[in-house]
Amino acid sequence: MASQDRDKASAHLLRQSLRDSAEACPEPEILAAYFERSLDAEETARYELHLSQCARCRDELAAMHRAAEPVAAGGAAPHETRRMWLWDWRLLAPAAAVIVVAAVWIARYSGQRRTATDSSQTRLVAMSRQSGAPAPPAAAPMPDHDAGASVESAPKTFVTPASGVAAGALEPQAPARTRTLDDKEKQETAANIPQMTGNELRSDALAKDAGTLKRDSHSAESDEASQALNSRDVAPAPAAAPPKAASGTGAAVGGNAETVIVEAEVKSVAPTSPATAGKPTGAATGVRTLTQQAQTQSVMQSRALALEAFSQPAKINFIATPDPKVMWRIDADGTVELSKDSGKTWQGQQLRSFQPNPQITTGYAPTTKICWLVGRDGAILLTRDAAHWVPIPPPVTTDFVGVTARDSFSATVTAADGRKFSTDDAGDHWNPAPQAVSK
Amino acid sequence: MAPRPANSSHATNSGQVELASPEKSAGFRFRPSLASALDRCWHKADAPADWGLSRGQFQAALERSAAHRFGSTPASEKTVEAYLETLNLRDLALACACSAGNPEAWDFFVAQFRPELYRAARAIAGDANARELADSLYADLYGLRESEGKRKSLFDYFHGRSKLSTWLRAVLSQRHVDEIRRTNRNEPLENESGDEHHEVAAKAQASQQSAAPDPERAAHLAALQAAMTAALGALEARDRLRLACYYADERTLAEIGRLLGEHEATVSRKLERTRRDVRKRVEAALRGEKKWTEAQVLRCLEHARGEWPFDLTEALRSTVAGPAQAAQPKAAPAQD
Repeated sequence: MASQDRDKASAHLLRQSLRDSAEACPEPEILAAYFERSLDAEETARYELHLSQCARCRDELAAMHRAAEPVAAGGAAPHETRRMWLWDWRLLAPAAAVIVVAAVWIARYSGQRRTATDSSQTRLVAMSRQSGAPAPPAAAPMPDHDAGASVESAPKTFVTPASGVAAGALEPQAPARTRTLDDKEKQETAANIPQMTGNELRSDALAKDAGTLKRDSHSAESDEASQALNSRDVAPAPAAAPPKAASGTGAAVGGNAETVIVEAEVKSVAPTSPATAGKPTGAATGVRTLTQQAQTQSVMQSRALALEAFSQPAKINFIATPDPKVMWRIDADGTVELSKDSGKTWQGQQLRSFQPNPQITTGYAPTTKICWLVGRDGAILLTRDAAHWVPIPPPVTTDFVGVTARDSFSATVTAADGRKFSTDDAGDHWNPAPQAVSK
Repeated sequence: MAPRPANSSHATNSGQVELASPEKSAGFRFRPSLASALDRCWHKADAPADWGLSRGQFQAALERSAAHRFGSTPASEKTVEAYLETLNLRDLALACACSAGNPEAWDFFVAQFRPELYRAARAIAGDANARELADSLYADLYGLRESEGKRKSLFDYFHGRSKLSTWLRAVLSQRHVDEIRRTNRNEPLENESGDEHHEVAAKAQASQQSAAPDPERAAHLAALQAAMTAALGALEARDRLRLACYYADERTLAEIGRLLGEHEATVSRKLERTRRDVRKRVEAALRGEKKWTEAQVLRCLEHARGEWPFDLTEALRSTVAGPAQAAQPKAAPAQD
């Protein structure tokens, strides 16, 4: 019997063994005192023994914890409170107005726009290109929606807004910005760059914010743009493979990597029906990369899609593996899914251990079986078999924004404040990591 | 929600609480040596005059609380004093005054606790049932029921060991859970849920159906049952509770962490350790005591995966005393 089978057998036995007992339950006062941790050691042990035998008392304890959660004035639970503010009309109304104005402005004044691969871009994509990193299996060429057009040489990874997601409150728009990262950031970011799946973002002509778009004197093109908004083809590219994985065998990206970060704008507007004609909102599923031949149309199209992307509430983070067919994705609600067929189909991951909204933000997969996930409030998760996840004790309880890993024991996490911590024993011990991530 | 069971024995050492029936405050009396402690408690309680609470009434409440805590166990003066210091005295005073029916105290209670009560009821039972749950509690707190001609208030069961708000939440939780279980009583027992269970059972069943019947199976399973019961009995209470939350309740690690005040990673690690320990104990018992070979142990586990004919409910009622159990005073038989 393999070790895994023995574990299953043990779990089965334990489940059978630990059933309810019919002993008399203590009074509510004992439950209350236990909840407040005001029982002495002996009473605590005695009560825990009873709790281990009594599902009723365990249910009561769980109910007490629910009742003890702090709530907003409206009576919502904390996780509800976090979402409720998105629907606050005081945010939605001005946000919707801004969106409408921006859409009109863009439609009217946007024109042909040449966008170089490393020139101005919106905060929608994080792109990486490696020239010296260990080569994962080569990705298939990106599909070209415009016949005969050549594909951009730089593999790009994009953040795809979740399709069909209804909107929430709008965050204030901030100007998009692009910059070239320094070596440190390249190495770190390249490892965490989400990878595309079937919904490739294909634009390197994503519109900037209103402050930087050039005036377009061709109103016809602006009409085209708004039409493109409504009629774009956002179906996943057939047999599309993601761009070259930014993650190699687990080491940091080599020094030749060029990484341009375009911060993803996560916005949402009042709920609208998808692809409503004439409106800049709707279900956006992605932005396409453009070909040089169809650049104008693509610029319009991508700008329109970018606008939709701005108006969508959520992003999906993709985590590539050395095998381009295998990847994870993290939805806005923290759902983690695995694809083994280049994104055609997805299987939900059982993060059984964890709270409904683990607030996972990013991850790193040094192999097709091993994946590290990090997120807010010290969340660090690890799988060694692409199926079962375990929480890893964090070095500090803070928000983590990055992770790289060699294997299932060695990883480096990056906190939101820039601190890095490394472990070689799957989180049993953490040490502050040197700033430069070593290979 | 009866108080702790009555006892008739008295502890008569100097400074100890004289105990009698916990039902009747007249039977409880602190010794004079505790007078200064009682004074401190009275001043700490700081009950407003308009609550109409007398010092004697408050002392009676303290005596009931101590009797409830110590039962038949002799308690030294120091222990009793230390216990009195831990009580939520102001809440106890409020409860006493409300139980006695003082209108000002009741108004104060309603003003201070009603919003929290309804909020807790909503959190526990949902919006649809919150009102009913909270209102039923109100009626019992006020004392609409009568027993032997006397108004009986739920406040009588509050002894100050926790905050009043926490105690109210505990009562609400208990009522809600009891109601849920009552309505579910006639429903079929829950089958094991989860893909893992079905997978394990299905696999084992399939292998059993194709395999020839094993005459030793019953003996194997019985031995395994005994070993498992012993292994669980040897666990610390908290480890056992963690296992129960995970396997019996199928709670997530995060939920278990919240219940026990632990980080979920800690829960995961400790569960894994406990699981490993239980398995080692079981296998050691089978190999050591039963002198089984490795092959026999494996065969036994195979049998158990598919079929577990024994009722292991008693496993957690095992009289095999673990370290945590050894220190427990023997519980008196429960009343009602």
